[in-house]
Amino acid sequence: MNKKSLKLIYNNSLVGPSIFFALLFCIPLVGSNYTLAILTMIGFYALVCIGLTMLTGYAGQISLGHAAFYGIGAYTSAYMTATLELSPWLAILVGAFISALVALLIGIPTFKLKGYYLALATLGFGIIVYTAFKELTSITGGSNGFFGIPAIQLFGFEFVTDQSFFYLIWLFVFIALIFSRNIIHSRIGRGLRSIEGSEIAADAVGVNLMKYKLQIFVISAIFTSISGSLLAHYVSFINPTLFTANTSIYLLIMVIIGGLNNIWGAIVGSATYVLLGELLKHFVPVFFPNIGGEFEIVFFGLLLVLTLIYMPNGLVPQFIKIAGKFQKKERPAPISFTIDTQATGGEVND
Amino acid sequence: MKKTLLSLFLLMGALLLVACSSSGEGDASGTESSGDSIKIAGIFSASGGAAALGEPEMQTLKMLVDQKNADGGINGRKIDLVTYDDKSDQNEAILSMKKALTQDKVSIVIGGTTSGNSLAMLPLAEQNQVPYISVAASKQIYMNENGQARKWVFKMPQDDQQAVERILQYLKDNNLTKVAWLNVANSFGTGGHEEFVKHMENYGVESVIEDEFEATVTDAKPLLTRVKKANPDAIIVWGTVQESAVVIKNIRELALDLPVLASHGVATNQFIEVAGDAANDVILPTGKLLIADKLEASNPQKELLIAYNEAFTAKYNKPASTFGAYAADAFSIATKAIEAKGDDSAALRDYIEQELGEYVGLTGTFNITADNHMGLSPDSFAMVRIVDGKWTLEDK
Amino acid sequence: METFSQMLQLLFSGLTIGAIYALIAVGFVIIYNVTGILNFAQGEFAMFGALISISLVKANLPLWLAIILSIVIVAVIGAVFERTAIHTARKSSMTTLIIITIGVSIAFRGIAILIWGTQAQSLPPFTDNTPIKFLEAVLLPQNLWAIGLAIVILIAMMYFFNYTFTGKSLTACVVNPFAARLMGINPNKMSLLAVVVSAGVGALAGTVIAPISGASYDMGMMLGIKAFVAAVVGGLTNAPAAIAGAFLIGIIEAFTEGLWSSGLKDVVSFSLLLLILFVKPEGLFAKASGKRV
Repeated sequence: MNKKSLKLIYNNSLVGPSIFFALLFCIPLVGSNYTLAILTMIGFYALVCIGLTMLTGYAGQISLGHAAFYGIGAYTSAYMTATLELSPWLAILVGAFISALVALLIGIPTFKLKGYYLALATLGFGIIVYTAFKELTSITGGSNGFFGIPAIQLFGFEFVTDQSFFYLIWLFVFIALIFSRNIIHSRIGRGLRSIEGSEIAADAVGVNLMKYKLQIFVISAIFTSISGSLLAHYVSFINPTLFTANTSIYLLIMVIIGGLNNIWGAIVGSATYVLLGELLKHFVPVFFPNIGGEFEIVFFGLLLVLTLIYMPNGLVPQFIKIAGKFQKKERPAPISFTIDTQATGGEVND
Repeated sequence: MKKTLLSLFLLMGALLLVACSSSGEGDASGTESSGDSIKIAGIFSASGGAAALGEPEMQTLKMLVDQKNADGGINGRKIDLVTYDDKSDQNEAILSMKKALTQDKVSIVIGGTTSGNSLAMLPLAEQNQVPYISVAASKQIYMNENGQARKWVFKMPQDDQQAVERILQYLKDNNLTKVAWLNVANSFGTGGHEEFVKHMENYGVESVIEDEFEATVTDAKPLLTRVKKANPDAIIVWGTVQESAVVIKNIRELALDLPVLASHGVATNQFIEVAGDAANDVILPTGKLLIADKLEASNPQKELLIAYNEAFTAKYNKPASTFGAYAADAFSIATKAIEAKGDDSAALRDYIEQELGEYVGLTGTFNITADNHMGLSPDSFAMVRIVDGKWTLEDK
Repeated sequence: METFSQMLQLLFSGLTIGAIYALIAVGFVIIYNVTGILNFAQGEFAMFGALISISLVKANLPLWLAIILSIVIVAVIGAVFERTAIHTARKSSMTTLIIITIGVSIAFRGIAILIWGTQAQSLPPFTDNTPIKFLEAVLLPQNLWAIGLAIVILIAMMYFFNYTFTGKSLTACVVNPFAARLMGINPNKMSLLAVVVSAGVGALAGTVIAPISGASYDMGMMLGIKAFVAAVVGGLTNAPAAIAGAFLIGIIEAFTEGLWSSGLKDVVSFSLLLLILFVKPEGLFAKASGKRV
């Protein structure tokens, strides 16, 4: 890990995010409603993935059950605003609180486990929560779904248009991004990076692994829950099939494709997933008129596999490399002192 | 390989930009489309969990549009059909709907294979003021909480309520008062369950046991031991083909010699193929597609049904299903409206609601009014029994 | 139905479904023990086995030939999968490997839809399928096939891993790949062998279950997950433990469904999974050998 990449990781300037979001917020002025809808969808996933990237990339934990938090946020908001007729913002808070609590309950016993076992535990937990959504019909409506979730509003302004929701969700994403970067650069973040380097060493130095992992898990659960709550208001109808194990898997896929080592991977990954779907929808019928969505599924799976084999660190590092090529030429390498140590074979260097 | 993959990604990004920018911008309210073609959209779940329902719907619509265009289109104008496969995913359905309404600027939308997707799509139809004909079952789709019809939404399939009531009527007529109700654990199943619970008392039927089975069920015998213990007079199995076949096979294997009633979800020859001998003596309500050849010659539906059946089997090499028929009815009603009113969305909506009148379709005879945007009555169902692997009319 | 018969029936159903899980779980465990990868695509091998044999039967092959041929074909698919996806990515992180197998399972499902469509299909039972009655409980010959095959595979695996050179080589790769190499064992070849065997056994599972509950493109996912749970509950470290875990899960599911509620069946299974993970992560039946946890 040379100095250059360290600088990239610890880049704490606000310039990057500000430019990005400034550009982003200009889009509603020129984009169609359809474009905005796609970008809004990306926004929902991005908010979830920011938390998940931190969890997977920085804390090294795999979660295959995050759809559960998504659903908890969504159903809490649905229930509290439609059935109990309370404020949507209160509902978002309550949803986040419940998710945080559940994350703590699941996290404490689970983080003692290693690698794959955590993935399985979260998978199991995710399915249990999904079953709860299906079975608690008086609250959630069960498989029939929950129809009629009211729009979210702030001081009388209702977020119903594509433009308004676009701004709303991406504002949340922006806040989440800044918040996450602050965490990464704080003691927690450094502690986590040390875990990623070597758990044993970190432990030896007194880094409290459990505490940090738990904190990140809870934070990721909160982000996901907030996204779920906003989703409920956006689509106005939710049902358990939105929060299955498959959903959790796709979220993880987005995170991996984007790149685990950089928080921007969350946005890149979500964008890739949604845009790829749209692209396939657009172009597959042109080349293969009689094939339906199945081909898209195959293509997506294959692409995923290929990407992971040949670009295991995800897309963001590739973009950084390309960006690097456009920067000023590198200064010639300084004269290097290399001591040739040929330890084997006893050959002498000429 | 890395470079290839990366350039592939960049290429796709570029293509996407081209795709997005070529489709115009701004809000649309479904007014006159440009050019001389009529634009309609079909959004179905042709893959994913509901594919067994959505694929025939998608194929039917494509087949009929091709046929119509070959015949010269509607009033000389070609039909420009955009289809989207929402992969049984609600978010995809919403995005497809948005695209169809705001970018493709269609005059009318047909689709929404599952009730969930229809419910997710309809707010967009209302916002954009484009008529939307749903092919899913839930009553909520065309009726709001106050029992009023949603202005821009119409629905082709009968309500679950009507199917359930036909079953309840049969039970009452045959003095089967204690029944076991089993439904598949998804929205199709719970929809039927809700209606059953609501109406069973009106027919003097009581349930001795109500439970669910998974769509992926492999062996329902544990569940059936409880059913056997409860001692019902009859068993209702409410699901679609694969899971119902498993459950009904298990019922026969356990030597439960009781009348078995199923939902209209198994009203396809595929059910008989999968269930084999166990399918015999199963009774269910179905649209008249399956017993078309047994209808009286005077029945106005007979000719239409047979024609559809032949066309579909000829083109796709598999039996036609009632699900495809929903899409067919939606299309023919839309066509009639377009013939009369062109492609102005508001005019189409008004035509369907007010001027269509009594319309004989594949699913039944529609009577759409301002209060009822579905328009079918329970007699659009026939009760059939499977005998020796064939569909026979049970009564009427 | 009086209680004893009910219990008997629940036991039969539990053993049957447990046997199916067992056949798939064995595949998991083998791959995990040799390569360290959790193969999320394992269920899809069963799916291919079922659908390919159905197609072969439709092409008028006799049933037994169709089954054997489909097992071979799926084994080949497994080999291709190993060489392209697993071998090339073997140096990647665990997370990446998990996602790769998930990607492969997605692709497999898509391919299945392309070839066989979305409709459910059925395979004829292996032998005449008249139910055998025990009091009021019923056991189908096909169920006996499932249970029998699972037991045969169990014994075969025990013999293979403990008494044959190849089997012990596979185990060696797990314990210490470097030492294994020194002994002339090629972990790459072993990895290929492990996947091929797992794929074959998975395909067998698919052909056994198809006559019982039909086959369709999406049958693999839930089977895979449940088999997963079974393997973890029993113990990922060796095949017999996983098989025992599978039978346990099957029986628990059957009894939950039969005595309580079907909807909560999954909750019970996965709660058991969580319990085991928290309390005894190496599994209920694992030998205390300290391998691979």
